[in-house]
Amino acid sequence: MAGRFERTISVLQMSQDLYDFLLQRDDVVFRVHSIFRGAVNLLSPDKELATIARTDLDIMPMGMIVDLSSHAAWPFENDDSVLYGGQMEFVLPNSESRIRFRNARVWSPELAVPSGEVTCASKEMLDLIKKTLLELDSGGVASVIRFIDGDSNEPSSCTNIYARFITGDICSFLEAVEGKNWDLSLSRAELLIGFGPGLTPSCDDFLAAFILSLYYRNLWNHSDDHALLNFLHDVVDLARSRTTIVSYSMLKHASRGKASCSYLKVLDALATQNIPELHRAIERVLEFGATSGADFLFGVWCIQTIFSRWARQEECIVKKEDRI
Amino acid sequence: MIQSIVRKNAYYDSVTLMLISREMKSIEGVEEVLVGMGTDLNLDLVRNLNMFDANLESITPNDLFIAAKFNEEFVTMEQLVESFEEQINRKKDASAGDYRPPTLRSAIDHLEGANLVQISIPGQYAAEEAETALRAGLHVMMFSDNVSINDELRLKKMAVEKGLLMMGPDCGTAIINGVPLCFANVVSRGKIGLVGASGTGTQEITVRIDQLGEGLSQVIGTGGRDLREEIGGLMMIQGIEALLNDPETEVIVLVSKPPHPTVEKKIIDLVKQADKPVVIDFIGGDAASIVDAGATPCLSLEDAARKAVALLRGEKVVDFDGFDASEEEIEKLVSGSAAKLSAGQKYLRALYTGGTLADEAIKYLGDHYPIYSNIPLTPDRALANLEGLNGHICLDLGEDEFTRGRPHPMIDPLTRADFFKTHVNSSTAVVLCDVVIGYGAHENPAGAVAASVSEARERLKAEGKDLVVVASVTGTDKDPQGLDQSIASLEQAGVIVMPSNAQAVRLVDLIMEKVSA
Repeated sequence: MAGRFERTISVLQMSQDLYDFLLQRDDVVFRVHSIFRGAVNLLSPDKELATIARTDLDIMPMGMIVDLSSHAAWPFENDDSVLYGGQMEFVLPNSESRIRFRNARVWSPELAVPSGEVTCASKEMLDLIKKTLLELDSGGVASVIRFIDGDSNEPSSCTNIYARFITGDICSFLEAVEGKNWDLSLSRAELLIGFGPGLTPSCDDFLAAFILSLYYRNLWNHSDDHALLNFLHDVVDLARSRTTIVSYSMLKHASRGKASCSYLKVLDALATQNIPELHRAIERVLEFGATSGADFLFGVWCIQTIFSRWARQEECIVKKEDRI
Repeated sequence: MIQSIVRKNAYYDSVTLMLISREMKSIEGVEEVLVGMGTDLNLDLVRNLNMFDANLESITPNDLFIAAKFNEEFVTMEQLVESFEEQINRKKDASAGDYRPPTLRSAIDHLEGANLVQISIPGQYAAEEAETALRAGLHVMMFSDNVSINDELRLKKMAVEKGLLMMGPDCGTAIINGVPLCFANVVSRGKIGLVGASGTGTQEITVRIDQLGEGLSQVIGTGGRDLREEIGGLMMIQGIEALLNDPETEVIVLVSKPPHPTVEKKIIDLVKQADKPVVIDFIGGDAASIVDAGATPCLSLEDAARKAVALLRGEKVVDFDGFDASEEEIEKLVSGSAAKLSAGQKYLRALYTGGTLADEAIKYLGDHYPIYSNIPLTPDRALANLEGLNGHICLDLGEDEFTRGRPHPMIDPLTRADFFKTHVNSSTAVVLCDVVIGYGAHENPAGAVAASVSEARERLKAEGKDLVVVASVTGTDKDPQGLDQSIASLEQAGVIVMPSNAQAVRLVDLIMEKVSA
């Protein structure tokens, strides 16, 4: 059997959702959607994107890490067929290769409830993120932080044309979210989805941070806020036709609490006040694309700042009620 | 001219797109270029910039577009597309120049062929970065300090297993394949290889070798703790083996403070097997075991340089504990200096920025006078035991206690300037200084010392007194600050500039002897 294949690549790690997806199917023909140096995207007939990445990349939802060094060539061409026949392996007829996931470790693309108390991000943590973003100047929309945090009154202080163009819309979105006006937030989000440089446009990375953070705040606080959950799903619905398929997949996963390993680690470190872990997670997140990591962190900084304000407001209300 | 092209279902990674976008913007005649995915909002931006054209009418979010505004007299859309294609095809090469990777992993990824990582970040994060580099098969030079000894041991073991160098933590200097790293001087390339556990000691030897007309093959730093029992000299041994195997190296120099006896034994055992001459300066250490190993012991850092050069040239190896200047000239300097001083001026102030240079001074002078220091020879000579300023003082201003919250004094001369103000007074007879130039150092350390000397002189003048200042410059004429310019600015301020730290220390010793008499 093994002799039929020129090459066999082993899968080291596989996300739980991809594992479940394949488990429910006996016969799927994926198409190679896009090929990058570090990863390959496969598209299923029902438009699910699966990502195969090398060991130097993070594992993602609907993803797997294969034992392939950065210098070895991918056994794919664009539009190649990739067959899954229920045997815990992908078969690549064009290159007479296979990718076996029989012994892969399974990774959950969701965060567990932190064991300790879940708190708002501290000022020190927010400052660490801000300092990183100011030093980085990534080329996406993250430089809007200068304007938002009062370091500058001029959108022109943003370092690139994308950031300058979108500053006003980001501010309007932040106001709507802070006011918990989800209908307004949705119409403001519409002005952001799909905007910016990159394969996952900058504003989508920014929104992914919002969606993930709001999802977990709702889950961990047992809030079950239907209006909020509807907002998250509606943003994803809007994204279906307004952004790239890669970006849409990312937002869809985020609305279910799923994200790449490093993105989740950032949220976990913030929730558990673990500064060394946050530092490491920031480093890793910044390896995403040219601007994606920084734009995601920018979103994290904005939404965590809003959480802090909400917490202060709630504290004031409690104190007021105590007095009454 | 405004024009665009669309690539259906074309996906390129973000880094590539960003680099290409920047590259295309730099082409002559191009006013603006947008390269992005065809989402509605990106097209809004294109419209806003008046760059929308008919090609973009039917684009979808999964298509790539290039929209350009350009002056046709200089460039055409075909040329821009050609440039785009060319860069897509050589995207890896293109990425190295313009892209600033945000992390070490992405830097390694984008700079193919790189084989050394220099780490200078807060100590608590440095070990993890070093491990990343070593795992990727790269040598490490770690300038960072405050790395735990356990981490140091773990990283050095990993380096040895992989046949790599793990220079540091707290490694201040190295010259690898002629490239100066961190604090290092521009010296000629040559046939003498050096492994050093002491930063300015290494610099002092390399510049003297250069001044004597020879050069360095490799200068490998180990970090100050390498020769402690816990680390076991792993990098000193790795460095010696590297130089023994290096065909460009004909003579090897080792410099460090005295190692732990168990570590010293390992080094001596290795040196016994060496098929190349080895010069060893375990500053102030025992010479007997060095001689037993068939190696050459030294009296000073300068002596180490001279002996290495003599061995390389096949000349007779002799101890050097004198001066370049004649006896008469030295006598004249000593008498002239003593004559400048008034009654009550009797104390030495040695204000060093280089730790090993301070160590060399204190070990020589400490035999003759009680010297109080933050790096004392014996605990009773600790600075805290000095009453007021009534005694001889030698300070290593680069030690942690003086650098908290401020840069190292080799970078920022303010620390020493402050000590000139507080520690040089009417009871001071002689000030002894080092001036370390080269890469990493302040842009004009000699000028800063000259200014401090002038200020001190002016202050003492009001009391009818003068001051003797002796210095040496660790540097070469090829360093950015220039050796000659540095010496000139010191001499202009009335500083006696000696050719090496050892000679400066010996001169100070003679002057102090005269003053005491």
